[in-house]
Amino acid sequence: MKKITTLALVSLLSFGCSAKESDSQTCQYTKASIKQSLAEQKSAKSQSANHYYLRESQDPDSDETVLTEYLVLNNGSTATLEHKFCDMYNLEISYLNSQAVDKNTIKDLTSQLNQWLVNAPVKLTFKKPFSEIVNSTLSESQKKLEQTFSISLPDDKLDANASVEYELGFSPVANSSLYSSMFNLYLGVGGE
Amino acid sequence: MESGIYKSVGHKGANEKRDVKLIQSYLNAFSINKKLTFSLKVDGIIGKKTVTAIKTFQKDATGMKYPDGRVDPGGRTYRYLTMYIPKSEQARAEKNINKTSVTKPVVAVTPAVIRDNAGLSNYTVSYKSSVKESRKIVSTYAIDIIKLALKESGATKAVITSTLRTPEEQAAIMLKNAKINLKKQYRLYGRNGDKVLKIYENNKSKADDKIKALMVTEIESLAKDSKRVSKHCVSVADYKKLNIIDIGLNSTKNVNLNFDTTAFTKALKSLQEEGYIKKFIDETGKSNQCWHVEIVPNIKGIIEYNKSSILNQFTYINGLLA
Repeated sequence: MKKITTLALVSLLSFGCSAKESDSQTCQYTKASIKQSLAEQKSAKSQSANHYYLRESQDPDSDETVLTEYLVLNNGSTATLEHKFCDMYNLEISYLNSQAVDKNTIKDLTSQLNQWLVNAPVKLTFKKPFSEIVNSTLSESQKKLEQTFSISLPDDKLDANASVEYELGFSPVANSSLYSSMFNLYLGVGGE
Repeated sequence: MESGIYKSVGHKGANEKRDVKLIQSYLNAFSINKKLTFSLKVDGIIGKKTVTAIKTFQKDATGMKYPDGRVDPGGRTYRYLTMYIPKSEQARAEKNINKTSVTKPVVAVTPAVIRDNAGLSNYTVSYKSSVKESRKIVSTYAIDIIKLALKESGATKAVITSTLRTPEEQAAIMLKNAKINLKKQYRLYGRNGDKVLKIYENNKSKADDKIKALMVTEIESLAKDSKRVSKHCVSVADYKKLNIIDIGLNSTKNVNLNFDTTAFTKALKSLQEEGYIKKFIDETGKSNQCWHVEIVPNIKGIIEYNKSSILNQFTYINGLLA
Protein backbone atom coordinates (compact mmCIF):
# COMPACT_ATOMS: atom_id res chain seq x y z
CA MET A 1 0.00 0.00 0.00
CA LYS A 2 2.82 2.31 1.05
CA LYS A 3 4.60 1.47 -2.22
CA ILE A 4 1.50 2.37 -4.25
CA THR A 5 1.06 5.67 -2.40
CA THR A 6 4.71 6.59 -2.95
CA LEU A 7 4.45 5.64 -6.62
CA ALA A 8 1.26 7.70 -7.00
CA LEU A 9 2.91 10.67 -5.31
CA VAL A 10 5.99 10.40 -7.54
CA SER A 11 3.77 10.10 -10.61
CA LEU A 12 1.72 13.12 -9.56
CA LEU A 13 4.82 15.15 -8.86
CA SER A 14 6.44 14.27 -12.14
CA PHE A 15 3.20 14.99 -14.00
CA GLY A 16 2.96 18.32 -12.22
CA CYS A 17 6.54 19.18 -13.16
CA SER A 18 6.17 18.29 -16.79
CA ALA A 19 2.91 20.25 -17.01
CA LYS A 20 4.63 23.30 -15.61
CA GLU A 21 7.59 22.77 -17.93
CA SER A 22 5.39 22.63 -21.01
CA ASP A 23 3.52 25.73 -19.81
CA SER A 24 6.67 27.76 -19.62
CA GLN A 25 7.79 26.42 -22.98
CA THR A 26 4.64 27.70 -24.68
CA CYS A 27 5.11 31.21 -23.33
CA GLN A 28 6.81 33.64 -25.67
CA TYR A 29 8.27 35.49 -22.70
CA THR A 30 9.74 33.07 -20.20
CA LYS A 31 10.37 33.49 -16.49
CA ALA A 32 14.03 32.58 -16.88
CA SER A 33 14.74 35.26 -19.48
CA ILE A 34 12.78 38.00 -17.70
CA LYS A 35 14.40 37.12 -14.36
CA GLN A 36 17.84 37.20 -15.93
CA SER A 37 17.18 40.59 -17.45
CA LEU A 38 15.95 41.97 -14.12
CA ALA A 39 19.02 40.58 -12.37
CA GLU A 40 21.26 42.34 -14.88
CA GLN A 41 19.48 45.63 -14.24
CA LYS A 42 19.29 45.24 -10.47
CA SER A 43 22.53 47.06 -9.62
CA ALA A 44 21.64 50.04 -11.83
CA LYS A 45 18.21 50.25 -10.21
CA SER A 46 19.67 49.87 -6.72
CA GLN A 47 21.96 52.85 -7.28
CA SER A 48 19.00 55.21 -7.34
CA ALA A 49 17.18 53.38 -4.55
CA ASN A 50 17.59 52.86 -0.84
CA HIS A 51 15.70 49.61 -0.95
CA TYR A 52 15.10 47.06 -3.67
CA TYR A 53 12.94 43.98 -3.33
CA LEU A 54 11.72 41.48 -5.90
CA ARG A 55 8.59 39.37 -5.42
CA GLU A 56 7.25 36.56 -7.55
CA SER A 57 3.56 35.73 -7.88
CA GLN A 58 0.96 34.51 -10.32
CA ASP A 59 -1.88 36.47 -11.91
CA PRO A 60 -5.14 34.86 -10.75
CA ASP A 61 -6.99 35.69 -13.99
CA SER A 62 -4.45 34.47 -16.50
CA ASP A 63 -1.97 32.34 -14.51
CA GLU A 64 0.81 34.49 -15.98
CA THR A 65 3.96 34.89 -13.93
CA VAL A 66 4.24 38.25 -12.19
CA LEU A 67 7.58 39.62 -11.04
CA THR A 68 7.23 42.80 -9.01
CA GLU A 69 10.14 45.07 -8.16
CA TYR A 70 9.64 47.35 -5.17
CA LEU A 71 11.89 50.39 -4.98
CA VAL A 72 12.25 53.10 -2.37
CA LEU A 73 14.11 55.76 -4.29
CA ASN A 74 16.80 58.06 -2.92
CA ASN A 75 14.52 61.08 -3.42
CA GLY A 76 11.87 59.57 -1.12
CA SER A 77 9.53 58.46 -3.90
CA THR A 78 8.52 54.82 -4.14
CA ALA A 79 7.93 52.76 -7.23
CA THR A 80 6.68 49.32 -8.11
CA LEU A 81 7.51 47.78 -11.46
CA GLU A 82 5.22 44.87 -12.17
CA HIS A 83 6.27 42.58 -15.02
CA LYS A 84 3.51 40.17 -16.08
CA PHE A 85 4.21 37.93 -19.00
CA CYS A 86 3.60 34.85 -21.08
CA ASP A 87 2.17 35.44 -24.60
CA MET A 88 2.44 39.16 -23.90
CA TYR A 89 4.80 41.27 -21.87
CA ASN A 90 3.00 43.71 -19.57
CA LEU A 91 4.81 46.32 -17.51
CA GLU A 92 2.94 48.38 -14.99
CA ILE A 93 4.85 51.09 -13.19
CA SER A 94 3.31 52.82 -10.21
CA TYR A 95 5.28 55.82 -9.04
CA LEU A 96 4.40 57.53 -5.79
CA ASN A 97 6.00 60.94 -6.09
CA SER A 98 7.38 62.52 -2.95
CA GLN A 99 8.39 65.76 -4.67
CA ALA A 100 6.12 68.76 -5.10
CA VAL A 101 4.40 68.93 -8.47
CA ASP A 102 5.95 71.80 -10.40
CA LYS A 103 7.32 72.65 -13.83
CA ASN A 104 10.14 70.10 -13.47
CA THR A 105 7.91 67.17 -12.56
CA ILE A 106 7.32 65.88 -16.09
CA LYS A 107 10.98 66.29 -17.00
CA ASP A 108 12.16 64.36 -13.92
CA LEU A 109 9.46 61.73 -14.21
CA THR A 110 9.94 61.06 -17.93
CA SER A 111 13.68 60.80 -17.40
CA GLN A 112 13.14 58.15 -14.71
CA LEU A 113 10.47 56.28 -16.65
CA ASN A 114 12.56 56.37 -19.81
CA GLN A 115 15.45 54.76 -17.97
CA TRP A 116 13.22 51.93 -16.77
CA LEU A 117 11.57 51.51 -20.16
CA VAL A 118 14.73 51.35 -22.25
CA ASN A 119 16.15 48.81 -19.81
CA ALA A 120 12.97 46.73 -19.72
CA PRO A 121 13.33 43.01 -20.46
CA VAL A 122 11.68 43.61 -23.86
CA LYS A 123 13.68 45.63 -26.36
CA LEU A 124 12.01 48.98 -27.00
CA THR A 125 13.16 51.70 -29.37
CA PHE A 126 11.66 55.15 -29.13
CA LYS A 127 11.48 57.03 -32.42
CA LYS A 128 11.28 60.28 -30.47
CA PRO A 129 12.59 61.07 -26.99
CA PHE A 130 10.11 59.72 -24.44
CA SER A 131 9.81 63.16 -22.79
CA GLU A 132 8.74 64.66 -26.14
CA ILE A 133 6.14 61.93 -26.64
CA VAL A 134 4.65 62.55 -23.19
CA ASN A 135 4.78 66.34 -23.50
CA SER A 136 3.15 66.45 -26.93
CA THR A 137 0.44 63.95 -25.89
CA LEU A 138 -0.33 65.95 -22.76
CA SER A 139 -0.48 69.12 -24.78
CA GLU A 140 -2.71 67.60 -27.50
CA SER A 141 -5.10 66.15 -24.95
CA GLN A 142 -4.94 69.36 -22.88
CA LYS A 143 -4.14 67.44 -19.71
CA LYS A 144 -2.37 69.10 -16.82
CA LEU A 145 -0.95 67.79 -13.58
CA GLU A 146 -3.89 69.12 -11.65
CA GLN A 147 -6.49 66.41 -11.81
CA THR A 148 -6.71 62.67 -12.37
CA PHE A 149 -6.30 61.47 -15.95
CA SER A 150 -5.28 58.46 -17.98
CA ILE A 151 -4.10 58.95 -21.54
CA SER A 152 -3.09 56.60 -24.29
CA LEU A 153 0.40 57.33 -25.67
CA PRO A 154 0.96 57.04 -29.45
CA ASP A 155 2.18 53.55 -30.26
CA ASP A 156 3.66 54.53 -33.62
CA LYS A 157 6.46 56.38 -31.82
CA LEU A 158 7.64 53.17 -30.21
CA ASP A 159 9.13 50.21 -32.01
CA ALA A 160 8.98 46.87 -30.25
CA ASN A 161 8.50 44.57 -33.26
CA ALA A 162 5.09 43.70 -31.84
CA SER A 163 1.88 45.54 -31.19
CA VAL A 164 2.23 47.99 -28.34
CA GLU A 165 -0.29 49.64 -26.10
CA TYR A 166 0.87 52.12 -23.52
CA GLU A 167 -0.79 54.59 -21.29
CA LEU A 168 0.15 57.18 -18.73
CA GLY A 169 -1.99 58.01 -15.72
CA PHE A 170 -1.79 60.70 -13.08
CA SER A 171 -3.63 61.41 -9.87
CA PRO A 172 -2.95 63.88 -7.08
CA VAL A 173 -2.54 62.33 -3.65
CA ALA A 174 -4.54 64.15 -1.03
CA ASN A 175 -3.97 64.02 2.71
CA SER A 176 -0.47 62.60 2.59
CA SER A 177 2.62 64.10 4.13
CA LEU A 178 4.84 61.72 2.18
CA TYR A 179 3.56 61.90 -1.38
CA SER A 180 2.18 64.63 -3.61
CA SER A 181 1.00 62.56 -6.54
CA MET A 182 0.94 59.21 -8.24
CA PHE A 183 1.92 58.33 -11.79
CA ASN A 184 1.05 55.11 -13.50
CA LEU A 185 2.53 53.82 -16.72
CA TYR A 186 1.25 50.73 -18.46
CA LEU A 187 3.04 49.09 -21.37
CA GLY A 188 1.72 46.01 -23.15
CA VAL A 189 3.82 44.36 -25.87
CA GLY A 190 2.47 41.68 -28.18
CA GLY A 191 -0.87 39.96 -27.93
CA GLU A 192 -4.01 40.68 -29.87
CA MET B 1 7.65 60.56 -82.74
CA GLU B 2 9.11 62.25 -79.69
CA SER B 3 12.72 63.40 -79.71
CA GLY B 4 13.05 64.96 -76.27
CA ILE B 5 14.90 68.12 -75.35
CA TYR B 6 17.86 69.13 -77.49
CA LYS B 7 19.92 70.94 -74.88
CA SER B 8 20.07 71.22 -71.10
CA VAL B 9 17.40 73.08 -69.18
CA GLY B 10 17.71 74.74 -65.77
CA HIS B 11 20.58 76.02 -63.69
CA LYS B 12 23.55 76.81 -65.95
CA GLY B 13 21.76 75.14 -68.85
CA ALA B 14 21.47 76.22 -72.50
CA ASN B 15 17.78 76.94 -71.84
CA GLU B 16 16.41 77.07 -75.32
CA LYS B 17 12.82 78.26 -75.27
CA ARG B 18 11.37 75.07 -76.80
CA ASP B 19 13.20 72.82 -74.33
CA VAL B 20 12.28 74.96 -71.32
CA LYS B 21 8.60 74.87 -72.37
CA LEU B 22 8.70 71.08 -72.60
CA ILE B 23 10.24 70.69 -69.16
CA GLN B 24 7.78 73.16 -67.65
CA SER B 25 4.82 71.26 -69.08
CA TYR B 26 6.22 67.89 -67.97
CA LEU B 27 6.79 69.19 -64.44
CA ASN B 28 3.21 70.49 -64.35
CA ALA B 29 1.99 67.01 -65.29
CA PHE B 30 3.11 65.77 -61.85
CA SER B 31 1.09 68.34 -59.94
CA ILE B 32 -1.50 65.80 -58.88
CA ASN B 33 1.11 64.24 -56.58
CA LYS B 34 1.31 65.59 -53.05
CA LYS B 35 4.85 66.96 -52.95
CA LEU B 36 5.19 67.84 -56.61
CA THR B 37 2.56 70.54 -56.75
CA PHE B 38 4.13 72.71 -59.43
CA SER B 39 2.09 75.29 -61.24
CA LEU B 40 4.54 76.71 -63.71
CA LYS B 41 3.72 79.11 -66.48
CA VAL B 42 4.70 77.34 -69.71
CA ASP B 43 6.46 80.36 -71.24
CA GLY B 44 9.86 78.97 -72.11
CA ILE B 45 11.58 81.39 -69.77
CA ILE B 46 13.90 79.90 -67.19
CA GLY B 47 13.54 81.49 -63.76
CA LYS B 48 13.79 80.76 -60.07
CA LYS B 49 10.40 78.98 -59.97
CA THR B 50 11.31 76.52 -62.74
CA VAL B 51 14.77 75.79 -61.31
CA THR B 52 13.25 75.23 -57.83
CA ALA B 53 10.64 72.89 -59.37
CA ILE B 54 13.40 70.90 -61.12
CA LYS B 55 15.31 70.61 -57.84
CA THR B 56 12.19 69.47 -55.96
CA PHE B 57 11.49 66.88 -58.62
CA GLN B 58 15.09 65.66 -58.52
CA LYS B 59 14.98 65.33 -54.76
CA ASP B 60 11.55 63.76 -54.34
CA ALA B 61 11.08 61.76 -57.50
CA THR B 62 14.55 60.68 -58.57
CA GLY B 63 16.22 60.21 -55.21
CA MET B 64 19.02 62.64 -56.09
CA LYS B 65 20.82 63.58 -52.89
CA TYR B 66 22.29 66.80 -54.26
CA PRO B 67 19.86 68.21 -56.84
CA ASP B 68 21.62 70.43 -59.36
CA GLY B 69 18.47 72.02 -60.81
CA ARG B 70 19.33 71.02 -64.39
CA VAL B 71 17.73 68.59 -66.84
CA ASP B 72 20.09 67.17 -69.45
CA PRO B 73 18.96 65.44 -72.66
CA GLY B 74 18.68 61.71 -71.88
CA GLY B 75 19.90 62.31 -68.34
CA ARG B 76 18.49 60.83 -65.16
CA THR B 77 16.11 63.69 -64.41
CA TYR B 78 14.76 63.67 -67.96
CA ARG B 79 14.22 59.90 -67.87
CA TYR B 80 12.33 60.07 -64.59
CA LEU B 81 10.39 63.09 -65.80
CA THR B 82 9.16 61.31 -68.89
CA MET B 83 8.87 57.72 -67.70
CA TYR B 84 5.24 58.15 -66.63
CA ILE B 85 4.17 60.29 -69.59
CA PRO B 86 3.02 58.23 -72.59
CA LYS B 87 5.27 58.59 -75.64
CA SER B 88 2.28 59.68 -77.75
CA GLU B 89 1.64 62.47 -75.27
CA GLN B 90 5.29 63.52 -75.40
CA ALA B 91 5.15 63.58 -79.21
CA ARG B 92 1.98 65.72 -79.10
CA ALA B 93 3.56 68.14 -76.64
CA GLU B 94 6.68 68.50 -78.83
CA LYS B 95 4.62 69.00 -81.97
CA ASN B 96 2.53 71.76 -80.44
CA ILE B 97 5.27 73.42 -78.41
CA ASN B 98 5.70 76.42 -80.72
CA LYS B 99 2.10 76.81 -81.80
CA THR B 100 0.83 78.91 -78.91
CA SER B 101 2.38 80.90 -76.16
CA VAL B 102 0.87 78.58 -73.54
CA THR B 103 0.94 74.92 -74.44
CA LYS B 104 -1.99 72.66 -73.63
CA PRO B 105 -0.97 70.73 -70.52
CA VAL B 106 0.27 67.23 -71.10
CA VAL B 107 -1.77 64.42 -69.60
CA ALA B 108 -1.60 64.42 -65.79
CA VAL B 109 0.57 61.82 -64.14
CA THR B 110 -2.10 60.39 -61.86
CA PRO B 111 -1.61 57.53 -59.39
CA ALA B 112 -3.34 55.27 -61.92
CA VAL B 113 -0.86 56.28 -64.64
CA ILE B 114 2.02 55.70 -62.26
CA ARG B 115 0.60 52.32 -61.31
CA ASP B 116 0.33 51.26 -64.94
CA ASN B 117 3.75 52.54 -65.90
CA ALA B 118 5.35 51.20 -62.78
CA GLY B 119 3.96 47.80 -63.67
CA LEU B 120 1.87 47.58 -60.51
CA SER B 121 -1.21 46.60 -62.50
CA ASN B 122 0.33 43.16 -62.91
CA TYR B 123 0.10 42.51 -59.16
CA THR B 124 -2.94 41.32 -57.27
CA VAL B 125 -4.00 41.99 -53.72
CA SER B 126 -7.19 40.16 -52.79
CA TYR B 127 -9.23 39.51 -49.67
CA LYS B 128 -9.62 36.14 -48.02
CA SER B 129 -13.13 34.75 -48.43
CA SER B 130 -13.76 35.12 -44.68
CA VAL B 131 -13.47 38.93 -44.95
CA LYS B 132 -16.99 40.36 -45.15
CA GLU B 133 -17.90 42.45 -48.18
CA SER B 134 -18.50 45.49 -45.96
CA ARG B 135 -14.97 45.13 -44.58
CA LYS B 136 -13.25 45.23 -47.95
CA ILE B 137 -12.49 48.89 -47.58
CA VAL B 138 -8.71 49.06 -47.83
CA SER B 139 -7.79 52.17 -49.87
CA THR B 140 -6.37 51.90 -53.39
CA TYR B 141 -3.28 53.62 -52.05
CA ALA B 142 -2.68 50.97 -49.37
CA ILE B 143 -3.24 48.25 -51.97
CA ASP B 144 -0.60 49.94 -54.17
CA ILE B 145 1.86 49.96 -51.27
CA ILE B 146 1.34 46.22 -50.79
CA LYS B 147 1.87 45.82 -54.54
CA LEU B 148 5.15 47.71 -54.23
CA ALA B 149 6.22 45.22 -51.57
CA LEU B 150 5.21 42.35 -53.86
CA LYS B 151 7.21 43.82 -56.68
CA GLU B 152 10.25 44.42 -54.48
CA SER B 153 10.13 40.85 -53.21
CA GLY B 154 9.52 39.13 -56.54
CA ALA B 155 6.03 37.89 -55.65
CA THR B 156 2.82 38.66 -57.52
CA LYS B 157 -0.09 38.13 -55.15
CA ALA B 158 -1.01 38.91 -51.57
CA VAL B 159 -4.09 38.03 -49.55
CA ILE B 160 -5.60 40.31 -46.91
CA THR B 161 -7.01 38.28 -44.05
CA SER B 162 -8.22 41.00 -41.73
CA THR B 163 -9.19 44.66 -41.93
CA LEU B 164 -11.34 46.34 -39.32
CA ARG B 165 -13.62 45.06 -36.59
CA THR B 166 -16.51 47.01 -35.19
CA PRO B 167 -16.96 46.99 -31.39
CA GLU B 168 -19.82 44.49 -31.93
CA GLU B 169 -17.58 42.14 -33.93
CA GLN B 170 -14.77 42.52 -31.40
CA ALA B 171 -17.13 41.75 -28.51
CA ALA B 172 -18.54 38.73 -30.35
CA ILE B 173 -15.05 37.30 -30.93
CA MET B 174 -14.00 37.91 -27.34
CA LEU B 175 -17.20 36.44 -25.95
CA LYS B 176 -16.88 33.32 -28.08
CA ASN B 177 -13.22 32.78 -27.15
CA ALA B 178 -13.69 33.64 -23.48
CA LYS B 179 -16.32 30.93 -23.20
CA ILE B 180 -13.82 28.43 -24.54
CA ASN B 181 -10.79 29.46 -22.47
CA LEU B 182 -10.96 32.64 -20.42
CA LYS B 183 -7.44 32.38 -18.98
CA LYS B 184 -5.98 32.14 -22.46
CA GLN B 185 -7.87 35.29 -23.48
CA TYR B 186 -6.55 37.15 -20.44
CA ARG B 187 -3.06 36.21 -21.58
CA LEU B 188 -3.73 37.34 -25.13
CA TYR B 189 -5.07 40.83 -24.37
CA GLY B 190 -3.48 43.83 -22.72
CA ARG B 191 -4.98 45.97 -20.00
CA ASN B 192 -7.85 47.31 -22.10
CA GLY B 193 -8.83 43.89 -23.41
CA ASP B 194 -8.70 42.55 -19.87
CA LYS B 195 -11.26 45.16 -18.79
CA VAL B 196 -13.64 43.83 -21.44
CA LEU B 197 -12.98 40.24 -20.40
CA LYS B 198 -13.72 41.19 -16.79
CA ILE B 199 -17.17 42.33 -17.93
CA TYR B 200 -17.72 38.84 -19.32
CA GLU B 201 -16.42 37.19 -16.16
CA ASN B 202 -18.61 39.29 -13.89
CA ASN B 203 -21.74 38.73 -15.97
CA LYS B 204 -21.33 35.09 -16.98
CA SER B 205 -24.76 34.11 -15.73
CA LYS B 206 -26.51 36.55 -18.08
CA ALA B 207 -27.69 35.82 -21.60
CA ASP B 208 -25.08 36.10 -24.35
CA ASP B 209 -26.65 39.10 -26.05
CA LYS B 210 -26.74 40.97 -22.73
CA ILE B 211 -23.08 40.17 -22.00
CA LYS B 212 -22.13 41.18 -25.52
CA ALA B 213 -23.96 44.50 -25.18
CA LEU B 214 -22.08 45.22 -21.94
CA MET B 215 -18.79 44.33 -23.59
CA VAL B 216 -19.58 46.62 -26.54
CA THR B 217 -20.30 49.47 -24.12
CA GLU B 218 -16.92 48.94 -22.45
CA ILE B 219 -15.09 48.82 -25.81
CA GLU B 220 -16.81 52.03 -26.92
CA SER B 221 -16.06 53.73 -23.63
CA LEU B 222 -12.36 52.85 -23.96
CA ALA B 223 -12.37 54.05 -27.58
CA LYS B 224 -13.54 57.48 -26.42
CA ASP B 225 -10.17 57.80 -24.67
CA SER B 226 -8.36 56.51 -27.79
CA LYS B 227 -7.79 53.16 -26.06
CA ARG B 228 -7.99 50.20 -28.38
CA VAL B 229 -8.89 46.69 -27.28
CA SER B 230 -7.45 45.24 -30.45
CA LYS B 231 -5.35 46.72 -33.24
CA HIS B 232 -8.26 46.12 -35.62
CA CYS B 233 -11.07 47.47 -33.51
CA VAL B 234 -11.69 50.97 -34.86
CA SER B 235 -14.62 52.84 -36.38
CA VAL B 236 -15.10 52.96 -40.17
CA ALA B 237 -14.34 56.71 -40.09
CA ASP B 238 -11.05 56.11 -38.26
CA TYR B 239 -10.24 53.20 -40.55
CA LYS B 240 -10.46 55.46 -43.58
CA LYS B 241 -7.79 57.65 -42.01
CA LEU B 242 -5.58 54.70 -41.10
CA ASN B 243 -5.90 51.39 -42.94
CA ILE B 244 -5.13 48.47 -40.61
CA ILE B 245 -4.37 45.34 -42.55
CA ASP B 246 -3.28 41.79 -41.85
CA ILE B 247 -1.72 39.98 -44.80
CA GLY B 248 -1.98 36.27 -44.17
CA LEU B 249 1.20 34.24 -44.41
CA ASN B 250 -0.33 30.95 -45.49
CA SER B 251 -2.98 32.51 -47.73
CA THR B 252 -0.32 34.55 -49.51
CA LYS B 253 2.07 31.62 -49.76
CA ASN B 254 -0.69 29.51 -51.31
CA VAL B 255 -1.33 31.92 -54.18
CA ASN B 256 2.33 32.41 -55.15
CA LEU B 257 4.86 30.09 -56.67
CA ASN B 258 8.15 29.99 -54.75
CA PHE B 259 7.12 32.74 -52.36
CA ASP B 260 10.05 34.31 -50.50
CA THR B 261 8.78 35.15 -46.99
CA THR B 262 11.99 36.90 -45.94
CA ALA B 263 12.08 39.08 -49.04
CA PHE B 264 8.47 40.17 -48.55
CA THR B 265 9.11 40.97 -44.88
CA LYS B 266 12.17 42.97 -45.88
CA ALA B 267 10.21 44.89 -48.52
CA LEU B 268 7.48 45.84 -46.02
CA LYS B 269 10.11 46.89 -43.50
CA SER B 270 11.80 49.01 -46.13
CA LEU B 271 8.50 50.67 -47.07
CA GLN B 272 8.02 51.47 -43.40
CA GLU B 273 11.47 53.05 -43.24
CA GLU B 274 10.61 55.12 -46.33
CA GLY B 275 7.48 56.43 -44.61
CA TYR B 276 4.85 54.61 -46.69
CA ILE B 277 3.83 52.24 -43.92
CA LYS B 278 3.12 53.85 -40.56
CA LYS B 279 3.42 50.66 -38.59
CA PHE B 280 4.66 47.22 -39.50
CA ILE B 281 4.73 44.15 -37.28
CA ASP B 282 6.07 40.86 -38.50
CA GLU B 283 3.74 38.35 -36.87
CA THR B 284 4.54 35.49 -39.21
CA GLY B 285 6.31 33.63 -36.43
CA LYS B 286 3.44 34.14 -34.00
CA SER B 287 0.04 32.51 -33.71
CA ASN B 288 -1.49 35.17 -36.00
CA GLN B 289 0.84 34.12 -38.85
CA CYS B 290 0.51 37.39 -40.70
CA TRP B 291 2.15 40.68 -41.56
CA HIS B 292 0.39 43.48 -39.76
CA VAL B 293 0.61 46.83 -41.55
CA GLU B 294 -0.96 50.20 -40.86
CA ILE B 295 -1.05 52.66 -43.75
CA VAL B 296 -2.21 56.28 -43.87
CA PRO B 297 -3.82 56.73 -47.31
CA ASN B 298 -1.87 59.06 -49.62
CA ILE B 299 0.78 59.88 -47.01
CA LYS B 300 3.50 59.89 -49.65
CA GLY B 301 3.26 59.67 -53.42
CA ILE B 302 4.30 56.40 -54.99
CA ILE B 303 6.36 58.44 -57.41
CA GLU B 304 8.50 59.42 -54.45
CA TYR B 305 9.45 55.81 -53.81
CA ASN B 306 12.87 56.62 -55.06
CA LYS B 307 14.96 53.74 -53.91
CA SER B 308 17.24 53.07 -56.79
CA SER B 309 16.45 49.37 -56.64
CA ILE B 310 12.78 49.64 -57.37
CA LEU B 311 12.79 52.53 -59.81
CA ASN B 312 15.56 50.95 -61.80
CA GLN B 313 13.41 47.87 -61.92
CA PHE B 314 10.49 49.97 -63.19
CA THR B 315 12.53 51.53 -65.97
CA TYR B 316 14.06 48.22 -66.89
CA ILE B 317 10.82 46.28 -66.86
CA ASN B 318 8.96 48.89 -68.85
CA GLY B 319 11.74 49.31 -71.33
CA LEU B 320 11.73 53.03 -70.74
CA LEU B 321 15.46 53.28 -70.34
CA ALA B 322 16.19 52.41 -73.92
